[in-house]
Amino acid sequence: MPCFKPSSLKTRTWIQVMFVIGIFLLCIGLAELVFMPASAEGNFASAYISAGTVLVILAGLRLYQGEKNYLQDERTRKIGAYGLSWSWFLTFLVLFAIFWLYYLHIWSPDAGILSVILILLMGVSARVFQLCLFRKGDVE
Amino acid sequence: MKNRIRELRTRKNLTQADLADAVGVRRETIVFLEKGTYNPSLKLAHNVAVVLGTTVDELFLFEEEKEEAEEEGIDLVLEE
Repeated sequence: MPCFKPSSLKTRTWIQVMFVIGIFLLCIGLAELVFMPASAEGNFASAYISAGTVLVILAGLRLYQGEKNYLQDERTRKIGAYGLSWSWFLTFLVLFAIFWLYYLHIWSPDAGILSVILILLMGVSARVFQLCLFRKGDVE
Repeated sequence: MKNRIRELRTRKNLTQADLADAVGVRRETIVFLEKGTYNPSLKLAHNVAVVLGTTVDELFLFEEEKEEAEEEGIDLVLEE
């Protein structure tokens, strides 16, 4: 029986490598934080820690889920892209609404609140749209 | 789009997971393909046809699509 394998970038070995790189970055960041003063030039501790944390969480989740569940095929990529598009559009509408609320002096959020709203809205709405489309089967 | 994937798959004693592994997609993709709710790319359609030992023409029921389109007044094939 012929066998058509997906991209090697999604194999378990590659994700294990990502996980190890994540831990490595985390260690570098923590070492810098401990042994170098925060004001020192060339101290990228926060960047290393952020990048390392993201890699460890993403790769760890994929390893935990198992190979069958993180495999991306043409359907998941298509639905993923549509979910992100809808999320972007929703965020655009919300930003538009916030602008008018601010302009009409109805609500004046500070930068911190606005950032949290946008980060949560984009992340959560993308996931919600993707889940809805996954249940539907296709995007057409 | 209606298709004969389930029929040919069971005839070959393959599970949905076996077929998914063979063509390199998730099992859910095969589920939605069989239901006819997902329209695959030409490449995936070809791969599924190869694994099931048939052709894309045999696998997908284009005639029914054509009839439905004709009922709706759409010409699928341009003939001189």
